[in-house]
Amino acid sequence: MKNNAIKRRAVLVARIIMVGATGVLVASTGLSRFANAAGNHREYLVEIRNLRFVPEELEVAVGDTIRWINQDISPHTATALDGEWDTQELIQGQSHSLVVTQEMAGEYYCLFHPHMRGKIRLRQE
Amino acid sequence: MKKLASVILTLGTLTLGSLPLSLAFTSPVLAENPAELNDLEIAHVAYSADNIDIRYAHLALALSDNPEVRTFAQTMIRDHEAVNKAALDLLGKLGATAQDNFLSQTLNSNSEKIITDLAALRGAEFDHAYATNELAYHKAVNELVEHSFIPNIENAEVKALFKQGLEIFKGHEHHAEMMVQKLK
Repeated sequence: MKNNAIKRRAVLVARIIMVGATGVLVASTGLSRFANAAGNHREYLVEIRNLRFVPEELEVAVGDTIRWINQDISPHTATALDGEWDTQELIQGQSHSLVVTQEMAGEYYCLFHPHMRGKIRLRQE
Repeated sequence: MKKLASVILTLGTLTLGSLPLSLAFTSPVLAENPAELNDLEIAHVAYSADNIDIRYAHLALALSDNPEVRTFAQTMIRDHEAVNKAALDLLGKLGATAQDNFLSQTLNSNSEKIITDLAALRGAEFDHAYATNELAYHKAVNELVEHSFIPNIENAEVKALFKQGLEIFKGHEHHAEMMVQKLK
């Protein structure tokens, strides 16, 4: 019983360290990349702040996940120029994730602020 | 000071297309100095300026069929309401209330004339006048916020909010420039 409790605590501490390490990575690079347990797919983070997508360009593979999070006061979207994909409206603090498909390669923009542009490049794996 | 006087004058004499509005300030124009407003008065000016642009946008949605103009107007309502909510939330947190002042009153009275003149226009004439007014309005307000308000705001949280707001409003200015170009 006591051993189980110690094991649970150790797992919890390990999880906290991993979450903390991910936070440091995101804070320092604006980009979160880590292997998915189910495969080699990665998750990328795009912050929307000061009316910019940060980073503006991403190189990703089909099957990866991109998460957009809005840090601005004003609502934003990340939307394909041809409207094929869309995060829908994100208010401050909201995020939305999309799994990358072949069709997502190219420029995208904010539906509300058309001068805001981002770009997705596909990496061949 | 000259620059500031020019901005204030612009805010009072915005033109609608070829129609000069001739909105003279009650003289003397600079009897009071915007650079001397306190944080709560500055907050009131910003709140008033946001609400004025929301009113212009509602008028555009009522009168225009142009998709470009309508999208822009919807963005103005969405963004200015969000900024005003953030400002009210911050004032609530600080336990403060925005203070009415001469500049808020000037902006509000001038906007009445602009709305009356805009409301008399239709079709492409309205669209062009609305777009031109939006560009001039954002340019003038952004000048005021960047060069007069932000350097003089004392409270760090209020200053940070104004800096965020300025980024949004510069985006609006750029968006308005694009709209004016397309409507030419």
